[in-house]
Amino acid sequence: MDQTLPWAESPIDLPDEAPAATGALETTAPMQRGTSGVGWACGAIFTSSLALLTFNSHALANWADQLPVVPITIPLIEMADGWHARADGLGLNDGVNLASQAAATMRRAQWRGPPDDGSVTHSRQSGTGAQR
Amino acid sequence: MLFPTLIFHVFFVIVFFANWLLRRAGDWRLIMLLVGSWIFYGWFDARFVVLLQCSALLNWAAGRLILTQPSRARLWLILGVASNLLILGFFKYYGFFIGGVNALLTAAGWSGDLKLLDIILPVGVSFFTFQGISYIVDVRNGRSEPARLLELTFLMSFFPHLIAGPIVRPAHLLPQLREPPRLSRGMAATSVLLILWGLVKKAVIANELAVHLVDPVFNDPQTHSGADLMIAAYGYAIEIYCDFSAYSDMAIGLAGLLGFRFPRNFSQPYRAASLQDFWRRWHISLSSWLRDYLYIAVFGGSHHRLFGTCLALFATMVLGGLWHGARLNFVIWGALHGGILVAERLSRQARAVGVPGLPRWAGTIITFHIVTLAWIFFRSTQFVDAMIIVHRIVSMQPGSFIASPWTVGLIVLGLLCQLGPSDAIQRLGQALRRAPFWVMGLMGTSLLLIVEGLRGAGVAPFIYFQF
Repeated sequence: MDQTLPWAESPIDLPDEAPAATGALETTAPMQRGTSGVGWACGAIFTSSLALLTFNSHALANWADQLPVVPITIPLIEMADGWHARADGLGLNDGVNLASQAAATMRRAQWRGPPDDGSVTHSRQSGTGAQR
Repeated sequence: MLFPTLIFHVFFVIVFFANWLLRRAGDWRLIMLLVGSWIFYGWFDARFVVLLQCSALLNWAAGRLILTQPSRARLWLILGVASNLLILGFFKYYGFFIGGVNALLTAAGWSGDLKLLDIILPVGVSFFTFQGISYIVDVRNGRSEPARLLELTFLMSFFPHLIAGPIVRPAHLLPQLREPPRLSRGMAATSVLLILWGLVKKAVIANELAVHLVDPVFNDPQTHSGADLMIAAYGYAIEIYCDFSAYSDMAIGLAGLLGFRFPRNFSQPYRAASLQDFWRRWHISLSSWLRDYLYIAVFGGSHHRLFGTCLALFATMVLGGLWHGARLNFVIWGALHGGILVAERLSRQARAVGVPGLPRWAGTIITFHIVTLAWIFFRSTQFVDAMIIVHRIVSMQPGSFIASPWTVGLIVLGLLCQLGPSDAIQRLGQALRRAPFWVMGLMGTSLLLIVEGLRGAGVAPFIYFQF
């Protein structure tokens, strides 16, 4: 009967955490004291969520704009839009705006000369990606 | 609920904290994850949750009957597999089948008016049905321990792989459910990196290629030049890789953060030097599923003589194509792969008698182009569109040209991903596990902000959601 997934078959298996490297007999390596990633991952996720709330109010505003407008959601939508406007005013959205402008410039870039295959038309799709 | 959205971010953060708070709570942790998975699945359509639950119950009952009635095990196995195929067939192939019957009846002079139902395809039905089949086959063959109803329902419903795989074998996941979860810093760092890299591939490379090149060209191939069509074909090869491997990477990373190890599903497939090699690197969980449960178990694999083996190989690939959906183009895609795999097998036989083989680099280039040619049929809505594209590329027809430096750059970037070290994520994970948590958090945020800026408006569903 097969045992659990053999070591190194998963992309999250690191070579120096292999059972052989740690001297364990089981297929999953035991953890040494102080190497647990739970607290570390909790901290990383918490930091990241807080930073995203601060610097990516676009996502919050976009989400709020898609909510149905009913009495329960109205305060949420107002709060999200208000935070987005304030973050914009404080310049917190500059990073995303900069990346967005860079992407728009890269999308607009065209070849210098006409392609040499005899093509006749250079057409462009509209700048920002619409839903497929 | 799509992975790269705010709502999923909130959902996952809640599930993540609940999972580790309940780490010593045994079944309660599984129950929490199961309810979370049903909420995730119900977000698409709440009715599908009932189907998922019924499917799990059916497979659990089949497994029980196989074990408790050994004399009738074969009968229960056949009935169990047939029930799964019936579910899959009804939702996926009913329209195709009835359309075909109607056409036959009309051709025979009868009135072909069998009723076509308006059936919605449940998201991920192909994946969880295959999970169910592998459970009852593995229980019958002694390759997996029997699962409790809770465990099997969890195996089939767990949200990271529910919609588009990877198809996780019962023997690989069930033992993990019976141990307390563990998460080392290295596992956590590598999981986060897989999620971030998946987001870049999906939200930037795949989405941008789809919106600015592939979709406009494939939707109107008649007006585009041969050069544009050729670049769009390369573009689709990169798009589907970045889209599908992104989903797998994110699924593996999300499961990893919850303490589960999922198998690798992609391994730089366009580096393959033969089609056989390609199928060891592309959608590994499906290709190994097809190999074990169809090619070997049903068709007998390579136990036949050469002709029988080639026939088994070809039939497996045609059915693999049909698994993607009831469309002629998927059958042609499967047949192309099957035909080339047969040719490769025959050429290996020829090499055994002294005919020299190709150098590896030539094999890689040829394989990539064969795969790209087959993708044209896979992507085109109709057979005639695919033929138009192939004809216009071969004859280098003039027409409009929308491939830009941006889209070509993304194609090159996608190809470069195939050439880098295959363990790059693990190496980076090893380096980052020594960093304080806030460094990882801020690094991830910076990357997410760049992705947010680079991607266009909206998130297109993953391509494999339709299968």
